[in-house]
Amino acid sequence: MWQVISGIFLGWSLGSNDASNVFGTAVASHMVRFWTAAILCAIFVVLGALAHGQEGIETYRQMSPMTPNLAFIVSLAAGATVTLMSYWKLPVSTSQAVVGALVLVGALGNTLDVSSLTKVVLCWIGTPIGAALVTIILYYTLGKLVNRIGPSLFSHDRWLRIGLLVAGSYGAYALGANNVANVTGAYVGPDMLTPFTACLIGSLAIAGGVLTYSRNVMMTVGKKLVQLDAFTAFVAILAEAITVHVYALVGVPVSTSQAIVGAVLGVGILKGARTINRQTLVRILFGWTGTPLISAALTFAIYQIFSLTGNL
Amino acid sequence: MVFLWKKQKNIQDMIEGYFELCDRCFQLFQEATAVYFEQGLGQAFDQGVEATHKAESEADDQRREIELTLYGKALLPDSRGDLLGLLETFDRLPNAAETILFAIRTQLVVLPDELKEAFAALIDINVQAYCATRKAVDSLFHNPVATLHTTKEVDEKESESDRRERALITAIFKSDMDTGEKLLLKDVVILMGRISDRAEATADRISIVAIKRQI
Repeated sequence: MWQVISGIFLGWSLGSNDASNVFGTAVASHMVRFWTAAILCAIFVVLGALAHGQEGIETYRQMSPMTPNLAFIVSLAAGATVTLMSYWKLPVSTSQAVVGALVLVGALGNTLDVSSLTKVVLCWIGTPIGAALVTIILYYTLGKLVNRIGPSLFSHDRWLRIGLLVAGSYGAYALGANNVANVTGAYVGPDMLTPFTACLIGSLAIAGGVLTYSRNVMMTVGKKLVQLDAFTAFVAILAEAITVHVYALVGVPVSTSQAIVGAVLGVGILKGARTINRQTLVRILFGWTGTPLISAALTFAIYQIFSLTGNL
Repeated sequence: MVFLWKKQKNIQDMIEGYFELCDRCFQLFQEATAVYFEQGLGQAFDQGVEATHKAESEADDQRREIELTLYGKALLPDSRGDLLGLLETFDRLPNAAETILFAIRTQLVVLPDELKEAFAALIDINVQAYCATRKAVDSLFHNPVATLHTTKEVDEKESESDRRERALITAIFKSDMDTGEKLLLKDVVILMGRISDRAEATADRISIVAIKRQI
């Protein structure tokens, strides 16, 4: 049972990194206060995980069968990778970190299910593109609606503030529903945890990360990629939440980081490519490619230690 | 959440109060200038100047209070910045009115009878420019779709004021007054026209705030 500790660590690191994806744009541009965002995010992550988290756990269970020690290795390597990226203030994909670790473990033990892996990798490509498309559609439809209603300065302000809080909470719900599988999904395979307990422990760990270490990455997503006004921030968060929620319903754990970066880039496309900060984009893309590789390398190192001490 | 709405409503009421104080200031300014055109310098005019000055100071105090409340993060940063900018620009209008009255009083400006009507007409068009600006502000707060239409009205008043200023300055320099007197009157004309210039700048800002909210 002690092996679950690394799952809790992974959950904490996911919370610290991925809360930025749902509230980063609003917090970094001072539209929502950090603590309001963090508390709402923590609550809705738990609710989302308990309501819809079990579908994603099934996908992970199929990808690579786990022993308790292997689950420990995977979570520890992925958690360490994501924490490192949070330290560098990079919004990365926890899914990629976990999958990088799972692939290596599967390859070493000859138990890798390539068809599940293909589905996950295809979704990695589809997530940012999908989120960018949803952003563009939402921007035009909601924009038309706002123009038709023509709200006064004060009602415009009031509705956007409500919109940011609602979309952020929905994003947190989708984050919990989709990503809890990354955190404790590996422990369901070896029958250490029931799917419900896995969702509960995982989501509480994510909530802990949101509340304690999420501020830095929020600033990268919200401020440094594209400068967002209140309306585009709202549209980006909503698009990200919709995209991730759809994947949660399908049962594929995808990256909220990829979704929000795709959504924010969608805004960049709408406003002209010049508004995108290329340096930040390159750093983020480096994080995306580096994450599965670093995670796999760490997994290999920890795997060798366990193997040498005869604990596998 | 309810707390936030209350804070927003409070700011909205404060802003409405500020614009009412500005209206009061312009009403007193108009009364003071009417007294000046009828009776010239004297006690009645001085009282009008003081009353206008008092209303302008009250509007200033109210604006500062609004700014402090806005810095307390009652609105989204975008709206906050827009409102602060708008108030700052608008505040130059009552200030311009007060400056005209002080200039007349301190420099003991006496208008020749044959130019009084033209001066009164210049004041009138500038007050109209102020009223059109107020209409644009109201529109921004209550009916933003009509805002751009109302700001056009301010532009028209400003152009008319420019035309009247040029005509008046020409008339001043064609008259038999001595050069010092001519220059003094020319300065008063320019001060009067400043109201519509500032009204136009305010209207431009209002248009930007309205356009920013169109998606």
